[in-house]
Amino acid sequence: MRSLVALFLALLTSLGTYLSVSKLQALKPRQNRFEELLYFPSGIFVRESVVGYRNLVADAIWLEFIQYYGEHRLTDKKFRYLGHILNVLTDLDPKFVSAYTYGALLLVTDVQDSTRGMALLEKGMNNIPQAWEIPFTAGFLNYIFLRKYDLAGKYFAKAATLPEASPSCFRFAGYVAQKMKEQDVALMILEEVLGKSKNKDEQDVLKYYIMKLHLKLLNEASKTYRERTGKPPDRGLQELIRSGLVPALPFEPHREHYFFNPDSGRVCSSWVFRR
Amino acid sequence: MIRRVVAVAQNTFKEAVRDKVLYILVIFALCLLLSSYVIAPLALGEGGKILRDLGLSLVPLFGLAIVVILGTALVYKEMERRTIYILVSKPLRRWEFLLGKYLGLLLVLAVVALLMTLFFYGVLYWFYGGGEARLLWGIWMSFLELAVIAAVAIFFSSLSSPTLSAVFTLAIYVAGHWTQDLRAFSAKLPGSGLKGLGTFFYYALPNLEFFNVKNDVVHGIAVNPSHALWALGYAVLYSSALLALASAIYERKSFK
Repeated sequence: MRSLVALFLALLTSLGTYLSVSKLQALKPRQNRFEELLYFPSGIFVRESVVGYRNLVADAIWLEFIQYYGEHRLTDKKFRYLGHILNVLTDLDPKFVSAYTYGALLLVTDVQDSTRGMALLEKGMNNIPQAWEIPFTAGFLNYIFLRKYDLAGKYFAKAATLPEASPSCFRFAGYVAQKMKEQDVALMILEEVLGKSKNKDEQDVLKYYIMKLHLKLLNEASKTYRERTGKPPDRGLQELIRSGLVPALPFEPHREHYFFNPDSGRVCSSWVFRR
Repeated sequence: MIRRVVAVAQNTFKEAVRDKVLYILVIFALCLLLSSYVIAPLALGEGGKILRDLGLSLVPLFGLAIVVILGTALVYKEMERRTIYILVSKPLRRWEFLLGKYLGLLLVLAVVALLMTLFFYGVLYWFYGGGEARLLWGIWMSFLELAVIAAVAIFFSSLSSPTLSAVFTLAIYVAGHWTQDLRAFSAKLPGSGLKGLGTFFYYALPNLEFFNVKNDVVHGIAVNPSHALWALGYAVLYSSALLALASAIYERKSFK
């Protein structure tokens, strides 16, 4: 009997605890994550204070970084502390390849801070000189987003000389050196990187840029078609193939399709409308 | 002599099992399984790395908890229960008693580390199709680190109460990870006296960063065999020196 009473009391107090936590949470002023991260300490401080468990703390910061990026990507698209988090993370775990490659991709694309993105990759190349993925990413970012083709070629060539380098490093170094058609190379690089990526968020970023590039190519073809025939390809994009302006319709990376939108007079992706 | 030391070690191990130290394995298992199911899917393709880091960190972390909880009370408990009077009246030398206690604690740590390692590899096999053999180097080096800290705990346990011993052991553990910085700071200090003091502490404190190869093994970097061999030698010598010092103090201790 006594144990039943104790159990009942335990249940009752647990319920009370739950309610008080909910109430206190509601009363607490909502803290801005920017302000929270103002106190995110420096990498050197964290490295010294976590003694022998740097990797474990680095993993916790990796999860914090994903959460921070995801939250701001869905809301204000401001990533003020992204570079700082990545710096702390790579101070704690200097051999974390994904932190450099994925981090630099986000810094260059979403934050539009190419200086910081490239600095992160340079830090990675110093800390892990044998990791081909880092100069490869530097080449990729310089080619696709910064349009510094000579620098991109140098990074691809550097990646190609490293042990266990992917054969794509050799190929891209060659394409850049031969000055092949810029958009074709860009598309090949993006598709190759997408095929190798295991990170869903990274894949989303890459798919978006592949789609943008496809749309650019299709709209250019559509414009030429209009100039030649005096009408837009409003009976379907197959007309662009039949007239020899594009060899085939590219596959929409989100498994959607491209179509000519008569309202805007441009080629669009159905993915944009489904979002 | 060996028989007497082994008897004390066996008794220490049995006592630890009776104290339900092995329950720590359940917490370890829960941590690994929870992280595999909850954290890994959120880690954007880095779940395998996180699981490896977690396994390699939890083995020494739980080992440290055992050393602090169990090791710091080992000798003191015998005095508190007054069983020390029975022991000192037997043909058992005090250093044999201390060595037996230390080896018993090491046996507990070895069994716990072995079981945790087996479970860790099991989880890696279940979720990622297996774990690399090089991770064993990380666990082995952590075990050496724990062997040094166990000697520190036994040393303090023979001098003071369990609470104080636990505080001192933890302080030495933290300071042991900062010895490289201590050396760097002392090199910048003015005057040869301060520099000498810094150098003294650099050698007197255990240099635990020598045993920290977790980052390397997770990232596929092989541990240099000569580093591993020197680390083993360092652990054996440092622990022996501490146990010898503890024995010297213990020999002079009066149990009246």
